[in-house]
Amino acid sequence: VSARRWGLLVGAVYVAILLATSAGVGITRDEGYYFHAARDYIGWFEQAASGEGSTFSKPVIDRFWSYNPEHPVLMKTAFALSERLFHDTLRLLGEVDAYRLPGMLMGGLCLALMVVLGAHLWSLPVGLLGALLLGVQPRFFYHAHLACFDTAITALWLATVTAYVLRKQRFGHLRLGLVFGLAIATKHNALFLPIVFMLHWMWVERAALFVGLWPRPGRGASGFHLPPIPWWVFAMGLIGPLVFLAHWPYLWPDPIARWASYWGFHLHHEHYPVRYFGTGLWEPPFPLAFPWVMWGVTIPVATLICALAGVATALRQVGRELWWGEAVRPDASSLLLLNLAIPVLLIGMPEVPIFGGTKHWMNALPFLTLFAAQFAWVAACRCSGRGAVRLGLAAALVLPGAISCLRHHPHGIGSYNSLVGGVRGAASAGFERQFWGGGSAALLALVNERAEPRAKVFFDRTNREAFDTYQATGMLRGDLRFSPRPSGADWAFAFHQPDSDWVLVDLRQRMDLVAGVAIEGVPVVSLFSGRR
Amino acid sequence: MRWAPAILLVAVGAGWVGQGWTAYYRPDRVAQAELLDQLAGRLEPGDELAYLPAWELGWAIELERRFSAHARRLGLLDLLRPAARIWVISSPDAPPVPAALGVPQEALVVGRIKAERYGFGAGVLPRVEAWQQGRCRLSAKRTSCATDAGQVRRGELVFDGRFAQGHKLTLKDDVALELRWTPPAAGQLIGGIGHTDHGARHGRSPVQVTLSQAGKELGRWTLQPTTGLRPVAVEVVGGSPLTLTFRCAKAERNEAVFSFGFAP
Repeated sequence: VSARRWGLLVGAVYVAILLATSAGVGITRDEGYYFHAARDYIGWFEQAASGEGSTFSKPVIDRFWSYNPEHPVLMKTAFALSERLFHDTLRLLGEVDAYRLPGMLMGGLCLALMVVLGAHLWSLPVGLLGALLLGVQPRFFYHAHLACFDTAITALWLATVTAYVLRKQRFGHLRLGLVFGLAIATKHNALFLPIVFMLHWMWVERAALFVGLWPRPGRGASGFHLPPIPWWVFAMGLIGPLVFLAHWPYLWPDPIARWASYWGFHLHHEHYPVRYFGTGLWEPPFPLAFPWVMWGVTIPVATLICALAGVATALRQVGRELWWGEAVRPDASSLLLLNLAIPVLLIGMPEVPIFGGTKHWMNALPFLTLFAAQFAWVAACRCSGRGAVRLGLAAALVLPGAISCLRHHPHGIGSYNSLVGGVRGAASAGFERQFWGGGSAALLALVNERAEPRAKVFFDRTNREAFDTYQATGMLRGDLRFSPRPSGADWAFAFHQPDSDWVLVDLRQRMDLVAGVAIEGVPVVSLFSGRR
Repeated sequence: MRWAPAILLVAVGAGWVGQGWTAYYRPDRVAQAELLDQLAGRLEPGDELAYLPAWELGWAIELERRFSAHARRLGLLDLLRPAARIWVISSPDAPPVPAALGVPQEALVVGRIKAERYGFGAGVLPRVEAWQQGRCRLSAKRTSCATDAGQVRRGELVFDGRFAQGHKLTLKDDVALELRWTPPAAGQLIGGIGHTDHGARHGRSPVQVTLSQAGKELGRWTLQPTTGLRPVAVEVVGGSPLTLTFRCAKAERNEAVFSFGFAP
């Protein structure tokens, strides 16, 4: 069976698992915004289908596409179409699951691509092991449930790298340009991909680029020599922006100004606090080691050890290549190392916002995991020539991560590994438990059961959009009212995170603690009721 | 790659050991319920309660449900103050109880969790509340005072996810804020001084703190703007007013705090 078929199988099974386990995953703040956006955007397609009015006029475009212009619309449009098809039309999925399905498919795509890329670079077992090691990382597993962009950009970043590796195939450059276009239509992280490829190209072409800097007798070369510009530059530079422009109607009336506004938003993004070793990080400069430490305490330990060994092996290969001119795999190690390092180094820059747990550099995770899988499989093969033993070792490597997923679900956003003592150790060490407002979902049934008619509920970090969706989907009673402030609320949630400490203090003075959501005793959100 | 098989086996072993180790510390609901049943028979009116780690949600809910009449301490920093009688419930991964509470006088143990009773007996003031700023005196009802020198407020103090009962100050540039309180007898003023997380983030210059009684300086501290409480224990004499003075050259939003109790 080919790697592609294995990839398809693994990806499909993963999507099925995600769908089967999505019920308890609360609606995050961003999902609330994206559901709202999806409801707006679908209107444009309906108007286009009806043939009424000018679909492409500026007023019509602005009417339907002006909400949430800080992110491109590929995924939000997919959420909208999925909801319309799988919920409204086919009635196959609940509304929230239907919105989330494209995000889950991206999770499945990630695993499928791991199989394909791992098989291409090393072997099918490496690809399969890499896919499984990625799929059972609790934070990846959590994010793969959501109608957000983080799993999607991880998938499309990986897809672009895979397309880059396979660019010499027939129509390979065309495919690379298209996939890159889809990546930048998903999230702005993808704009750093050309930098990664340029650095890789410089590495591969270093002899030609720098031949003149170390002139040798008889060679005749001196100074800097530019090798031929590779085709991928044109493919990505031309097709990518065209796809980006074509996919986003909001840009069409004024492409440059609106693109500048979009990019400007991310250049001046606000900071949200993060708790790190017991200290709230509110403003830059942030610690350079932050993303590395967070990886160190969140990736399953077994995977982490193999990844470190794999990266060390790859660095040694690259070093030998540089020093001795040995070319074991000229492309693989350096390309994967760059894809691993660049996203993490970007987040590690002191002025770059660090909120969002580990999701903002999740696009580097597949590459770290591939190194882990490659190392582990080679090591397993050295341990024994028997297939059963190798498979047993691979399973023993994968299962602890899967158990962590089970133990921490549906709050994988706050999962920590045993290096820091698990979620309890992380709480004692002063790490963040969650940040996205989804934790309240588990207590909605209690509020439904016990709140008085038309009671006012303060939802803290769960935003109005999520509240509306809970009511629209029947998860929350329709008569309950949203209270923007804790004062005056009959029921109130308090999230255990830096920017909600004041809420907790305020509620403890005035209301009774009635319930909470915890991961192994570590509180995520507390619920208060009754005015004293 | 000679070491590869050994590294793989270490990785696999670490993965499973880590699972077992972290699973060991998961809350044991049955033991919790049994311990609380036993505790219910030992609690006396006025006993305070605390649990460690202070973030453990199960204890918070159960103590509120079963023993809401008993005052609760909010964690390690709140245990810097003395107690007449206090039960401290500890999970197996709890940090050590602060030395300020002395040695346990009684213990209940169920499985991996325990409840230990500490205390200095009658006469202890777990919270010194009646500080006077100028002519304004804080009381059970009055929670804040303000003068030209600044403001003092009583309530929960926040230290980046850790909490304590105490007093929070708003200082003015290079103006001394003086607070007075008269100990009822000779004894120790025990607790802590420091900054809230908010104050530590926004403070740029240190706060000078002095404690004096009858013209004699009992203690002097320089508080750099860092989050938390620094433990303090000072011998005082009874019947003579203590003066606690705070001064900061550039106060900004520098939230200095203190949290004191009294043990005769």
